Amino acid sequence: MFPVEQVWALARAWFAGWLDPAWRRRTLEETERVFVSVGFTSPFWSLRPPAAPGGAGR
Amino acid sequence: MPNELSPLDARVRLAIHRRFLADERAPSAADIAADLGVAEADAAEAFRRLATGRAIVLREGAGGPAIRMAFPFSADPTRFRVHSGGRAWWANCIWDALGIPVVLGADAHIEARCGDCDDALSVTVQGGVLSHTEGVVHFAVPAARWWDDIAVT
Repeated sequence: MFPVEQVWALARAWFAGWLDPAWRRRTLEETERVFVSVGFTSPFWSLRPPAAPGGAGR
Repeated sequence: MPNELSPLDARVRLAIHRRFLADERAPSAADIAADLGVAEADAAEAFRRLATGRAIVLREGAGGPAIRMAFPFSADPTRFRVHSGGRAWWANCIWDALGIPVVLGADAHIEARCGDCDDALSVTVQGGVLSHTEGVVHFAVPAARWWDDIAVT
């Protein structure tokens, strides 16, 4: 469970520059940095379990 | 899975979002083809490449690929409705609902329903600040498994 304020911080970080013509999908490392920047640091937010397919969130 | 988009795919992605914003619904490949002056088949193939790259989510039908999600927008009604400037959009989740005012660069009012208890949650973004912050958000699926079934996530 996460406070709405924290998810708002995630949305602001995640969707910044969303309509920039130069937008590109984040790398796994970039996605991790966004999560960490808003305090999502628990294993729940890990993108690297052994069985995970290659990919970097959305 | 490349992170960079080809020039055509970048144009198609941007056109999808602009259409979603303007029309409050998902555009078709024909819409985007008309907007960009490209063949509908080329727009449809761009849709598929963007879906492979997880930039959008499609459903395939007899008429070709149709957009199901173009984050933060949902083509289908959801528990998350975002109102701004007399217009409204469906969002895929509360993360996306909060993303719509970011993408818009405008104030917005979000009406959400709890996926657990169906209680209503109302959130307003005004001047870049949340004016109603009661409640918590429940993410059901760990991040590494989001794309196992993005609709469930």
